[in-house]
Formats: sequence, structure tokens, C-alpha cells
Amino acid sequence: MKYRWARPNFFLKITTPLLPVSFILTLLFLTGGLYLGLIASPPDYLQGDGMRIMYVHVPASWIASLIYAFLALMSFFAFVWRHLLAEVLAISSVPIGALFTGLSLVTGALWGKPMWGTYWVWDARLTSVLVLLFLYGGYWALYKSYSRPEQGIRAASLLALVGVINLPIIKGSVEWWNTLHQPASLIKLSSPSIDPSMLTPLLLMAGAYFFYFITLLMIRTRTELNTRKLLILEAKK
Amino acid sequence: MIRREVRHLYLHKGTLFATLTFFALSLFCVSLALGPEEKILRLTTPALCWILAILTTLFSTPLLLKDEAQQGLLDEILLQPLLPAFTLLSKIGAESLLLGFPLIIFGGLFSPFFALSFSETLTLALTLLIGFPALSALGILGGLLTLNTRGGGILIALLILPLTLPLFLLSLICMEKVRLDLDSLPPFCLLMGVALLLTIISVSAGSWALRFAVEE
Repeated sequence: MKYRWARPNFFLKITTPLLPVSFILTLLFLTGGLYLGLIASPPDYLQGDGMRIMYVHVPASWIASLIYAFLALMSFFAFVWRHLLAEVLAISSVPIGALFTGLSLVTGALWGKPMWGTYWVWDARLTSVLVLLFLYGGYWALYKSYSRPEQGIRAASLLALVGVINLPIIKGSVEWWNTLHQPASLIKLSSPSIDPSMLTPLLLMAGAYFFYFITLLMIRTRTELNTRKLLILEAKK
Repeated sequence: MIRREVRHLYLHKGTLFATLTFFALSLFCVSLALGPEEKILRLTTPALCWILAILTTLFSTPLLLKDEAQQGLLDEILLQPLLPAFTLLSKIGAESLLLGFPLIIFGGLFSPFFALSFSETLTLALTLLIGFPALSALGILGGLLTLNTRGGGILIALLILPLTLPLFLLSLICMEKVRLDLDSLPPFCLLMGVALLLTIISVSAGSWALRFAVEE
């Protein structure tokens, strides 16, 4: 009974109505965030209109790290209990995480050209995001290089767990090594040093990305689960 | 136990020798490519030494592991009453003795050629000495994770190189501090801590990886 929530069939059943809801939420947040961010919000007094890239860039970086945390959690479940749904969720989240990491890097480079005068500097945050991309790549490559997926997933989850322990160390060492990036302006909880007219689109975009992630995750997981079902059925015949 | 592993490793002296030669030769090649300018050499050599040390361990450790897997020595580790982590640790110790020490001595011998001062050489050797067991542990983890895969070799670099980044960067910070005559103790202590932590993490992950690499 305890594992009722984690049964693949239950997942298939519950995501059937949830999928369109999450898709519509994505669209709503995305249109709201893009409208407010690109048209309605005031330009930055220092950075002008180029600052609008931030509405795409910052939430992408957030979601990229969030997905890695999700991947690590699922890897933990997959590794300890060898649960099928956790494995499938982990595998399905990897390409999406890599997508957001790539988006964050590309938009960051596009923003960096007019603001810093260069597409790329070996700065702490940039380097650690690049390392994140390599970790996603390593996970995927390791998973794919096993001929049987159930072996691959175990090796890959172990790698993801080692990676998540190392990530803060990598981040710390890189930060100590060199930094140019501006400190985050949202973390100061008492008084965020950002105007509400800019904060709203930022959060809306983060919501859009989040629901986009959930939608894609559901689609990918359902596909993977159904593929496995088909394979089992074929093997039975 | 370490003595036993050393004896095992000594059987592969060909591989070890080739690895060391690779290290020395590539060091020379890169310095030839950079030209005889002393300033540039002095700046780049520590980084080069570290990168080459990382590459040599990442490529040689899995090779040695593959040999042992073919001989069935890895199954034996699991059959022993001892925790597999201890055997892995003794493997790391043996590798540090047979590959790490010569590598450091090589680096130390050649560093006057690259216009490094005595204190810089000493720091380089010390950081390598501390970092090497962690590198070797990471190499073992990579080797075990990719034991049953197609491909293998290149994959290890992709998996493990990002994880070696902290060691590398911290020792470079150390070197820079020494070069500028600043206090290099804090980054050095940090390096020791990180190396220890990485060794522990990768040995414990490695013993899990060993379990399912052999089970298949």
C-alpha cells in the first residue's frame, strides 16, 4: 500500500488529466512572463534593453540546478530501492536539464557580449554551469554505453550521486579561483534589491520553465514506460 | 595488503613505464610548443604537470583494472571477508607508490628546466603528492563504472575530469600564492581536505560500483 503512489500504472493514470493542465499552465506563465518581461517592464537604467535577456537567462539557470537536484534524488531512490519509476523519471529528466543548462549558457553569452564585452570569461559561475552541463553529458553517455539499460541506470545513478556531493566543492573552488559575476540579487530575503516590476516577470518565467519541465517530464516518462510495457509484451509473445 | 597490491602492480611494469614516459614526453612536447620563453614556462608548467598527472591516472588506472577483471581478481575482492573499500584503498596506496612517486620525482627533476624556483618545485611536488591518491581513487571509480560498457576509455575522461576540477584549481591557487610570495597555507589546507573527502567518496562509491560490475 505504501508504494501505491510510486506504481508505474498509477503514474500513467494520474498524469492523463494532469498533462493538459500543466501544459496550459506553461502557456499561461510563458505568455505572461514574456509580455511583462519583454514589453511591459522598464529597461534597466544601467544595462538598457539588453537586460531583458535576464528574464530568459536567470530562471533557466535556476531550473537547470533544480533539475540536477531532482535527478540526484531520483538516482538515490533508483540506487537504493531500484524502483522502476524513479529510474525512468531520472532518465527522462536528464535531457531536459541539459537543455536548460545549454539555454542558460547561450543566453548568458549573448548577454555578456554587450555588457561585459565578451561572450565568455572564465568566471566562477560560468565555469560551474559548464561543469553542470558536462555532468549531465556524462550521465547520459554512461547510461547509453551499457548494452542493457538496467545496468546503465545503476552506474549512472552512482555517478549522479557522486556528482551531487562534488558540485558544491567544485562551485566553491571555482569561486575562489576567479569571479566576475555579479552576486545574486534575490537571495537577500529581507529586502530584495530588485524592483517588483522586474521581479514579477522573472518569477513568471521561472514558473513557465518549471511547468514546461513538468510537462516534458510527464510526456517523456509516459513514453518510456509505455515503451517498456511494449517490450515486455513482445518478449512474452 | 599494500605489499600484495604492489606486487600485483609490479607485474604490469610495462604499462606503468609507458604511462610515465607518456607523462614526460608530453611535458616536453608542450614546452617545445610554447617556446623557450622562461616567463611563459614558469607560469604554465604547474598547470601542465597537473593536467598530465590527471590524464595519466585516468587512463592507466582503468587499464590496470580491466586486466584484473579479466583475471578474476575483482571477484576475489568481494569474496574476501574484508570490506571491499579496504582493498580499494590498498590499491590506491600501491598505485601512489609505484606511479605517483615516480611521477612526482620526474616533475621535480625536470622543473629546473622550466625555470621553477626551489620553493615552487616543492609546492608542486607536495600538491601532487596530496592530490594523487584522490586522483587514483577517482580513476578507480571511473574504471569500475565503465567496466562493462562498450567504448570505455574516452568515456572515463568525460565522467571523471569534471570531478577532478577542485583538486586542480586549488593546487593552482597554491602555486600562484607561492609565486607571488603570499601565504599559501589556507589553500593548501583546503586542498588536503578536499583530497581526503574526494578519496572517501570515490572509494565508497567505488565499492558499490565494484559490487554490481562483478555481479553482471
